[in-house]
Amino acid sequence: MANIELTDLRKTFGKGERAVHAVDGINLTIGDGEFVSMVGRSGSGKTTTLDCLGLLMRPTSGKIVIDGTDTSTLSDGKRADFRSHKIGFIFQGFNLLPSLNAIDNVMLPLRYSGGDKKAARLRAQDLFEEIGMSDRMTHRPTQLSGGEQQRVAIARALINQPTLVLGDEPTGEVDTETSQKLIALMRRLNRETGVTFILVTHDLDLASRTDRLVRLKDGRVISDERQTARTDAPADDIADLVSATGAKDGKGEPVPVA
Amino acid sequence: MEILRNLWRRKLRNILTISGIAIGIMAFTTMGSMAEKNNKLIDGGVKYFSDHIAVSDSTSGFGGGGGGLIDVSKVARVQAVDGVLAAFATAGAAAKADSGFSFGVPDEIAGAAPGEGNYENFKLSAKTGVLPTDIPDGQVVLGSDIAKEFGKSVGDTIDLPQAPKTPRADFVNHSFKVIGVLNKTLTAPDNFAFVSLHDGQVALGDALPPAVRSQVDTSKLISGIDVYGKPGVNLDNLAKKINTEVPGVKAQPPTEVVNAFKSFSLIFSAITLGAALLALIVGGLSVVNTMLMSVTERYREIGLKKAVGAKTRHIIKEFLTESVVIGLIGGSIGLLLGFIITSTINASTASQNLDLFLLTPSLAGTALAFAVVLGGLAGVIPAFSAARLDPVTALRSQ
Repeated sequence: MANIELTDLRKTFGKGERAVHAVDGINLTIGDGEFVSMVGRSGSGKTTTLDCLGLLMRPTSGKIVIDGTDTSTLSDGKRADFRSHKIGFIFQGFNLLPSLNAIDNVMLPLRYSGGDKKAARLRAQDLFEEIGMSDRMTHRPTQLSGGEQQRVAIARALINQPTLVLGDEPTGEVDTETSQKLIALMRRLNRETGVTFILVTHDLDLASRTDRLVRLKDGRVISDERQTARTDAPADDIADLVSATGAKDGKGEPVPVA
Repeated sequence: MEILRNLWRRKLRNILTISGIAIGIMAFTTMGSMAEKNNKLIDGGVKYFSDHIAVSDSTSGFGGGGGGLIDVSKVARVQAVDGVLAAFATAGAAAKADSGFSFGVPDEIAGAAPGEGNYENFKLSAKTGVLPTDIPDGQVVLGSDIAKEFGKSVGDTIDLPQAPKTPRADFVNHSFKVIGVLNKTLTAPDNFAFVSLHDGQVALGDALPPAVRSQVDTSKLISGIDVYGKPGVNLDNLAKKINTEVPGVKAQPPTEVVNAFKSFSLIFSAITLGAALLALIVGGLSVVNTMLMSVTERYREIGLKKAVGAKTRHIIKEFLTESVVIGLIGGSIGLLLGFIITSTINASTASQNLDLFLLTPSLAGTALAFAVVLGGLAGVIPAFSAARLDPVTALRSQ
């Protein structure tokens, strides 16, 4: 659904000798409906790239074009509008509002994008069916397990029928079994809806199940491979991913394999 | 609902903050009610006293207080001054022999000459019975407060002045038949027992020390003269003219009376409302503190909202609404407490004729609006600081 072009994307924090080039000239094109993972050790620039892609952060230079819109020219207000209509977010910590029940959390983005509330509620109900939680719609986040909370967060990311969903470690705070279920859910939603998913992850199981694997190091793309997504890949079989990202080289943090 | 749930999530802190506002509004309401009552009295006083010149004995103080007696012949002398339309003798005494300090207007026996009502701008109206014009001897028209205080209505009899608990041997009073009860005016007439001029003179004489009492002819003594000017005549100038032309009397220029009333009103209002505003400012600062803490605690929530499309104005609106709701809840509780306090005190002091508070709808509305505005203002800084948060920083915060 979303055609994305990153052209010489750079993001520098600090100035002079203290400048840190978190993203250092990324060029990337992602086509409609792709299911992409970005991997790399801490400091590789994957999260900063995701923040720039999600229009949460302005790049220092370079261009991000999403569905033909050059987002670098948008004002803060237009960027907020763009986010609310085109982009869905899934965060590692679920980020559900404790004061709202599950369905109201899912409908939160509609508060800012407007639209027909009745139709939105019906859509939210459909999404709850999709994620298999129709009986949990009125539960509060504290009454849901971690996996359930993340499923609600996934439904929230899709409520505005975005063209792009960005996930920041979406399986980072759940156990292996739940993680696999979440991956399967996102995969299914990607196939059914055609929404483009870009997931930043340390979870190699998740990475192995994406259509495309982009590896980052020091703010640059060091490899960009299409892969046949595994549906039942055991974690051990994908350990080779680790070496490329440098996570096991003794310098970076270990990459969890489950 | 979400706002209430957010407030409920931090129960203790928000209850304390709301209590701060409630106490402030309660203080504002009670103090304001006191000022309102006082202002009504003063407004009434201004209306009541500004349409004529009050003439008293030349030794009297401001407003005729502490003065002596006037010979009734002075009425004709005053009447003869150029510019005077009519002059009426007045005579009276305290309606309660042991009347001590009174917060409002003291109860008084007011003997008035017939016909004065035709000249007064301040119009009285009868709740029951007749108006105090041409009252026959032995009869009385009671103001609303004095009637309520003594539980009298038309047809009853009342002894005036009311005897003290332990009357002196020379204490004298007389029975009067109540022929009218007036509607409330919120000023002096509410505490007047209107009698004929003759009965007023008798009461005046009865109040004199026994040694003096036997040596004077009370029918020739009065306590004051109410003077009405001809159309177009400046009453202040007329008062000065009376003072010059009629020896032994003191004519008080109405403007002096009115200004004195107004400055007292202003000082009273400033003191009472100032104290209440101080309490409110403290309440307002606690809202600022609570909301700033709320912003700090909800960084991730703000970040999330921005990520899913909330604009600066959405965040400002949400936080402002929350602080306004705090103000509204605190204000409503404070107003209710203020209402309970003022009506309880009014009810308990009604028997002493001490109606201290007047909680008007406009004061209640002002108090509530003030609480809401205070809540809103207190929320401005926190709301803007929330709206200015960088979404990435907010989302990654712990």
